[in-house]
Amino acid sequence: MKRTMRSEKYDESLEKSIRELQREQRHLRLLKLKKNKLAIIGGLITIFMILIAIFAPLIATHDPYDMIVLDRLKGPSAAHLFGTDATGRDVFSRVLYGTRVSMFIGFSVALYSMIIGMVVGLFASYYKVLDSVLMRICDGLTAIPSSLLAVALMSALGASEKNVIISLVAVSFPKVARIARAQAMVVKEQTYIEAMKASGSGTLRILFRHIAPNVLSPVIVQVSFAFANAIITEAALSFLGVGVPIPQPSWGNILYEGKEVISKAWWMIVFPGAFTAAAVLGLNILGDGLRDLLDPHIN
Amino acid sequence: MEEKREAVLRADNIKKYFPIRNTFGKVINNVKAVDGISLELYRGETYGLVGETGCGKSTLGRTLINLMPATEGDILFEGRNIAGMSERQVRPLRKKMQMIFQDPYTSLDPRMRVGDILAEVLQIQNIGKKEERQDMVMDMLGKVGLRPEQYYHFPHEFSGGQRQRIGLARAFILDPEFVVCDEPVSALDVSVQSQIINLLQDIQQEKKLTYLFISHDMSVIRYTSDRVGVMYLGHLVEEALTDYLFAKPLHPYTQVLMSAVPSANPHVKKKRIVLEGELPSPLNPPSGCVFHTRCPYAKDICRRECPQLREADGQHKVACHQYQ
Amino acid sequence: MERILQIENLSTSFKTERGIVKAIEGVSFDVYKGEILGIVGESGCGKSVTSQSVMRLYDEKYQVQYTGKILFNGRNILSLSEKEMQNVRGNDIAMVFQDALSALNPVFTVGHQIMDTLKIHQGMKKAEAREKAVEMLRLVGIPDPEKRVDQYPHELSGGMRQRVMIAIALCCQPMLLIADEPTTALDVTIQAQIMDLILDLNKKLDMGVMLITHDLSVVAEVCSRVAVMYLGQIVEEAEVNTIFDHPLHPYTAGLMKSVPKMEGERDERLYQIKGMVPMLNQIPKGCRFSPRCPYATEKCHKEMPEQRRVSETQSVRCFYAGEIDY
Repeated sequence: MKRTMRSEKYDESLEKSIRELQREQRHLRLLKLKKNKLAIIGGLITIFMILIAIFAPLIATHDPYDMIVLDRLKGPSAAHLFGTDATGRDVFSRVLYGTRVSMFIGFSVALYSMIIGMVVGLFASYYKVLDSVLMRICDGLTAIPSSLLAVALMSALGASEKNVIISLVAVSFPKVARIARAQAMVVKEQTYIEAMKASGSGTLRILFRHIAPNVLSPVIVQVSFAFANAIITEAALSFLGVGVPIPQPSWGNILYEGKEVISKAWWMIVFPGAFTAAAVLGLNILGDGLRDLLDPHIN
Repeated sequence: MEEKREAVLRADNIKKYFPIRNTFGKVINNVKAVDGISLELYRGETYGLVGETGCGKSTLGRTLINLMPATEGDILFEGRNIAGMSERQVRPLRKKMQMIFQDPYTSLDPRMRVGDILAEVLQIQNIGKKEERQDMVMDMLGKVGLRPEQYYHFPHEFSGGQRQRIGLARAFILDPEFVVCDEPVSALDVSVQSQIINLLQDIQQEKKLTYLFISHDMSVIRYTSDRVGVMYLGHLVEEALTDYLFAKPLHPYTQVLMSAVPSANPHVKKKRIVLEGELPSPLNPPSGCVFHTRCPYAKDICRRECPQLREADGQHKVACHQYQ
Repeated sequence: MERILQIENLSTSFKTERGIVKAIEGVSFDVYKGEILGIVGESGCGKSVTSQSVMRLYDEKYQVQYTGKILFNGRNILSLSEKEMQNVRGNDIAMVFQDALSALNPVFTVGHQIMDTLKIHQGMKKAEAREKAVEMLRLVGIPDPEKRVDQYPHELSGGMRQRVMIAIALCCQPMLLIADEPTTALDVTIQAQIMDLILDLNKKLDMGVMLITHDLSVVAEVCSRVAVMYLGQIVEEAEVNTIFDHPLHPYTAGLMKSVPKMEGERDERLYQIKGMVPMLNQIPKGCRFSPRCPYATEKCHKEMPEQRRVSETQSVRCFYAGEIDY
């Protein structure tokens, strides 16, 4: 009954103006994105890396684990684009598969840091007692140099991909939590939060439906930096031999193996190094671009 | 002469203190924002609460609907004491007491469409199904002078006056009985201000609403309110029907306040009473009558004893030793 | 009377993302020595743009374009170089803003900030400047100026800070003081004090004052003449008593009727001007007030009325001025 009333009363003219409005709003957003070249470049690099990670098996020319002893330490050629390593494995394919591992670790770290960081930050901003407990834990975690903490955690947990993610999340979520908390402190003082309370809204709804979306922008920026950082730290961990267990390829592992033969095989350092640098650069540019793009003051 | 009127809300000796803590969390002092106020609001009336910055009028408004818990005192709303209630207990009562906020720019969530903002209020109170809520929101938007398709706009697409209309819609969509209007027109331009005041009065008449109208602007209070309470430093110093108060303010502070309001008529040249000194801090309010430090008539007793709000001449209630 | 400021056909436009927007257009008025001219209007009417244009406070490299003339003592301000302009600002024309807290630097004492101005503009030595600073604080009615001079802005109340701002503005004895909503952020009792101070200083120092405000009551209280602005234009200009007794422009009349008053009937419904102020990029054709005007005719929607003088003391931008009874 009500339903039909609505269609009589509003639907006809409404439908049209809504569609027009949505088109306009979309157009404005696109316009803003177009202006932000930084975000676009960073985004393209990142997407490129993700595509490589997904389609690694299709692009790879060899099996990354396949040792062809005869072809040891060959320079780049048509057969081996990035040359081969000390056991004759194809570096190009290993770098591609390494992209998979590194991007997966980076992405997982970013995702979990965001979720944990947001939850911790939001609750800390709202409950005084929790605040002192949670934030002191975060203080403690950030007081130790991040790579040192990661190394310590890795040696305690044992080398595996999962443990790399766990220790990197432990390193990076406090930063996210801190930013989420700081922003949430600002947002929760806004009148619209008080207005929600005045309407009888519960705490969880206020936290996750009203504060969280308004906290998300700076958090996403921080998370994209955490993504980049995770890739670097993973490379560092693997380079130190406490990261992703060998023989699984990751950018850090390839570098680790290249270290031994650095004087003879430059390609083992240059190519994984370049990939790491490109991914990190792309993510950082993306983060900076997002910072501008997500600014809530729409001009 | 006063007919028997039904009290919607009765507040008794309300206190609201904000504790100041030292580094170890020990309370070392209190900001006494509201310090022992009693008042009654009758059905269908507008009670104007006037005072300057920092007098505690907004805090009192929030305390009365338990948006801030009172430190002390009772608040009877529809026969129930809501002062001690937990957030959860008050929640079902929220639809009967609503609030309109001062700043139309920060009172709407910038990331939500205005229709969704209003619909959510209904959802929280479990009113209607999704489509019904949408209808109710669109009807409400029409009632406050907006177009139904503006349901899909974001707050930043509206002017200050339109946003305040949305603020009104949010308060009225729950069909409340009592609305605290906290400086609802202070941030608005003159021509918009009169539109909003008229809208508030229209809705009030239609629904027999009770308003607590908080403002620093005496002339706005004069137009909107049936009764007025004047606040100074957490205390209610005078209370009277609007006509009586404006015809003959009794409390020295009310007199100062009135004389300071500029007149929109250039031929009227008022004699201004200049107030000595500065507003004392609510951390250390003066002993006795809170106004005695600046009062031109202060006597010995004013420094010692705090005057109670008492009937003065049949029409006024005033807290001043001069009249007791 | 001596004319200090003469604005002729001033338009100020800004470059924005959506093209060039004219914030004010064809604004002309004079300020005489010793008078207080009120410029009144609602947000977006261009009253602040007018005052900022007189001070040339906008970034001229990028965003702003002026046409017309601003003659200050016969010299066109718009043709001065930035260097010459710096000399005019503070020395000859001074400005007081709405927000005294953010206009004062929190890390310096108020004395320091007054002395700075004196040192820059008047080349005073420290001891002399300090003495003058104390004198200025006394002039603006700050009790205990010897002590206050060494205090920081946060130690002062809002009213006191606004007094300090006025002291800074006045310390070089400007010929023209522009006060942009000087009391909007203050309580009524403080507002009354600041208004009294401005009135008092205006008489004592015989300077011209341009008072920008949205508050008609403030205008009625202190100004000698008023210019009412709507959507970037002056719609009516007159002496205060004349305009309050006989407003000629429907906007002026509407504005006056919509203000809640302290006298007279209080039970009647407040007058309301219908609609709302359009955006600057959607300026209506013809008379800019025509879409909201209850008396608008065909002609109003098509043609733009010129500002015309109807008497010695009053000019108005309306075809039907004098024909309508408000």
